[in-house]
Amino acid sequence: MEFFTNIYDKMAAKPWACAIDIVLTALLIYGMIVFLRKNNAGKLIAFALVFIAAGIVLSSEFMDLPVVGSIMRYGVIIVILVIVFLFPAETKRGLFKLASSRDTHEQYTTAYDVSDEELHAAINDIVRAAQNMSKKNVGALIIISNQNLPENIIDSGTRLDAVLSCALLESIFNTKAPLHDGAVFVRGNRIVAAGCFLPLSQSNSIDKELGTRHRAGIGVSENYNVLTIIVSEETGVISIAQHGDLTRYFDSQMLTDKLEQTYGLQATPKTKSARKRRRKEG
Amino acid sequence: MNEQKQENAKKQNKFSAVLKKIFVHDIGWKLLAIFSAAVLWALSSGLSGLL
Repeated sequence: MEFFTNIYDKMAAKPWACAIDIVLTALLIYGMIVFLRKNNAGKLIAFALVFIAAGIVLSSEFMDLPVVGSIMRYGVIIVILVIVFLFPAETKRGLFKLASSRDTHEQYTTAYDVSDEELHAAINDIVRAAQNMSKKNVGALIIISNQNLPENIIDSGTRLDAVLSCALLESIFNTKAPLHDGAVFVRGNRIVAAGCFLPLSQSNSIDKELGTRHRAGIGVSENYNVLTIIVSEETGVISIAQHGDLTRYFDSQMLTDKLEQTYGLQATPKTKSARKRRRKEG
Repeated sequence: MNEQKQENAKKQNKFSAVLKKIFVHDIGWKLLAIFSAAVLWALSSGLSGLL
């Protein structure tokens, strides 16, 4: 009962200070959530919140635990030091990002900052490019993401930040082009980077006929919330990898439907075959 | 006149984009952050006077 009385007394004595305290704490927690999700560590969010709550309880005078209390009280400093020592490259990159005004602009725009018409045009260009490359047996690996992408993978390639077009995609994957090896990252209607190297899937269930390009496409979809379009160099078959699963033999209509779903432009698939496939997956 | 209208429309779009970013984008995670902050604050305040 005294526990609740303390809470009430504090709120009654200084309501604005309590509100500011809660808002600032919420901002810090949200920042931590965004950081963990950005670095594909979303599952750690619950652990982090429980750790903080445990720290507050164990470091309180009520519990009277001098050693554990001190560790928890200085826990934040310990965690920061561990992160800085274990991840020096990521820390450096994070600090550069904070200092860069262009990155701040990116942070405060909406998901794509483009109209639905522009997204539809981008989808048409991606589908046409995939079809053209499929006919010519040109291998391609296109990653579609509607979130911020892992910086270490983007940095492995060449940043373009170019407006997406069919011609540009086909130029990038031209076998004589320097950026044709690796993946292209697309966000909204822009090509973020090309020539990026991806983690390979270690799964044993992947067909042995499929090569490194397919493994890379499946691998990145296992680790990140992305849609991967893979055009086979050997057969010209267009495949999609998502959540670690590979689906092959996509035609232009199925590919368009899938991309519209991914971009949130369409609630349900239009074609019968796509609906059937969706029911199977679901 | 037309240019000013376009400029105003651009500013309005930017403003609505910022509002959308704050109140729509990731709203679930933001509510979780606020709820967690409230719970942690209550824990800290409630335990502070206890001996």
